[in-house]
Amino acid sequence: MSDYGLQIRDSSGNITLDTTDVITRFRYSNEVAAGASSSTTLSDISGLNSVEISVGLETDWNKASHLVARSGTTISWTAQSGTRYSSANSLIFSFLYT
Amino acid sequence: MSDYGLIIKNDSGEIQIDSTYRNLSLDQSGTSESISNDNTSGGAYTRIAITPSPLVPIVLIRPNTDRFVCVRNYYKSGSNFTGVDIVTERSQSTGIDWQSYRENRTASGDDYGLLVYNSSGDLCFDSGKNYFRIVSITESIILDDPPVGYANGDYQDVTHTGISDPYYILTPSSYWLRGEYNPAPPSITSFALWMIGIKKLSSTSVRVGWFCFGSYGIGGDVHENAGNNPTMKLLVCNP
Repeated sequence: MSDYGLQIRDSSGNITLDTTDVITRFRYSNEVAAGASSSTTLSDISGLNSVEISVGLETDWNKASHLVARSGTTISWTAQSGTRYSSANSLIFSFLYT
Repeated sequence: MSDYGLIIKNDSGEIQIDSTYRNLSLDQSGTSESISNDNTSGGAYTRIAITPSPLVPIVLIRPNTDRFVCVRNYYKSGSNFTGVDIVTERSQSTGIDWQSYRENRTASGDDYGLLVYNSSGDLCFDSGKNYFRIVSITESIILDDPPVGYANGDYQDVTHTGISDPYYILTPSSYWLRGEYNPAPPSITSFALWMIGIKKLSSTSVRVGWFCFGSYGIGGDVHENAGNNPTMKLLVCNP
């Protein structure tokens, strides 16, 4: 066991947060319009690990949510469409885990 | 990041709490939630209601062994997120456990422990809340494009021996539309809609794979075989 860090116990003495745990912090969200592709730079996430998620905000099953990716400190999103399916309004968000 | 306040790191040097960004704590959960798919555009998904709030929900899923599932959409009413749409295989149903995490919507109310606020007065951390822990991340799940027909497609199995019956996050989202034309009367193109989802194999393993969540036919040759088939990432999470 580490001799530093934060350990939290509940009122029964069970450890609810330990010095080895990897927990998450919310960093970024953006609702992006169907068909729009763009990016944002978050300089403060340099050196930190994150997870990016994209979900649709429309229920039509012939619509696809955006692709999302991170490169360095830039998070980019790309609209997806085809001949018989179209881009959906999407929610892009990111959380940090280091 | 601010040059004042509190930063707490784990013993790998990774930040747990930083008094700038708000930790994601358990907001709601459900067990044995029935997920059904009637193979229509409006009924292929099942909407799980969540407490209305503008705070973005992070939804973790614990699938069953019988069907693939994945998060398809979030639903908003005005500025509030009010629902999460889950899909399973076309014309099938299954049961899942789920958890929704958000930035702390309200304080726990405990009269002891640790509260951390940021400079805007938002509650970053509350020791009375529950926080999911990331146990492992499988970064590079690469699958072949979906096949012809409706049977489940390519998959990759992920084993996590250190934890039993965890919850999962699968990202990014995927989508594929494949229509095959049959010139024989009635000369229709049969479309299959696909997503990549997860299905439980055992308490310590899960399958990530393509599943068909919808199908329909259109007269004439209007075939298509396109979509996004990204490299997938699976997070194994300990609630």
